[in-house]
Amino acid sequence: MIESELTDEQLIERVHAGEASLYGIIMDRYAEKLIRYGRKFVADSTSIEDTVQDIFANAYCNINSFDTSRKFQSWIYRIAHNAFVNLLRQKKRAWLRVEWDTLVTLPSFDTYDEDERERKEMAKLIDAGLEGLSENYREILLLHYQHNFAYKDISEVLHIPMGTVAIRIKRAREALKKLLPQDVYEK
Amino acid sequence: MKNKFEHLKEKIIHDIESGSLSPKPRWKEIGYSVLTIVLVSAIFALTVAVFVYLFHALRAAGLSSLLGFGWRGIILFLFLVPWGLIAIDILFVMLLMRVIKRFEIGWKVPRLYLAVFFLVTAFTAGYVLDRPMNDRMEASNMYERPTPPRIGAGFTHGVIITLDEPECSLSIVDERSGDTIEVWVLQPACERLILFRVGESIIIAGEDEDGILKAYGIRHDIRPSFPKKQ
Repeated sequence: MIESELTDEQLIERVHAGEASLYGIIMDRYAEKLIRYGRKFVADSTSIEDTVQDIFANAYCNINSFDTSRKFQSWIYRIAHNAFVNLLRQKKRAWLRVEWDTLVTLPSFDTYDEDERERKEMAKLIDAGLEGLSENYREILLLHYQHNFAYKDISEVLHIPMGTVAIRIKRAREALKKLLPQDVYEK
Repeated sequence: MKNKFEHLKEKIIHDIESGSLSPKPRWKEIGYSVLTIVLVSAIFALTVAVFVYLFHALRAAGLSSLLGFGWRGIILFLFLVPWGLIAIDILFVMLLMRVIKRFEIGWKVPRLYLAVFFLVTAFTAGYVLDRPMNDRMEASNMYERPTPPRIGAGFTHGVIITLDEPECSLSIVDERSGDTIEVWVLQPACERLILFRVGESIIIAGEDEDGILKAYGIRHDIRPSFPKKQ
């Protein structure tokens, strides 16, 4: 099998076995995605590439802690989430924030609640309203609609219960709807 | 075709090949997880220990009897409960929640449910372990019995020296001070006076008014009596 056809998890298994050069394929696959994610989440392009480089370095240092039976994508996005949140804190000097929606939540099923056409429309709308959304809402809309993460994957990236993922997406969409002009949203 | 982010990759690959970037050994990860488990266990054990002491304190001071004295007894009980100990336990549980975030259960389960689970489990463990642990320690004279609250604090212990059931009155020797106190027992607590005899040790809940204790609750004190003041 050609190395570029291997799954992320198969590549990491071989990196565990000592083939460190295969880590380059992982970076090829994720560099652009993480930069796009960082630019839209942090809403500031100045230090994103440096941060993404740190993310890859950090991921490599901790590669032995990755369980190849899990999804690599969720794992590296978790590292990216922590890195971008730290970047936001440095820029905004944010105090300790309590995420009240993680205290209590209802069970949720891991399923998309819109059809494919609606999801693509939402992905376009998000760009129009991103600036006005809070970081929590911005990030979860990016992950779900532009990076195509399922609720379960988002739960693993953000380390929040699945029920909280569902509630937060619903509230983020409502917040986006309020921000955008009525005709843009309906169109 | 060169990836437009090739420059990011080149530095990392260079650091990997030169050895300046290398994975953390697996034993460190395992060791860190083991330490976290030990820390979680230690914090939970401390939480249970605080509850064990709390139950002992309530029993030793006879405070739990107040719950049988109607709404006034309940209010006094709530006033006299050592809330500081409960606050310490809540802080321990919050610390536990912080430490346990390293594991999946720490973030997959809503935090309030987890906190309630830990508190209820520690509370139950404290209740179950209270008597076996504390009775053994009392028998080995490892504890000093707490002094009862002063008269006027709403709650006291004493030994009956005179008893007049029809008049709803009695007098006691206060366990704390050795003084003789006149007690007038209010209804419906007065109906229970037929259960008591002179010489018995009792717990009384009531307010001191002009030197007479007006009691709304009275119960046998099942603890061994204090030595009488000479």
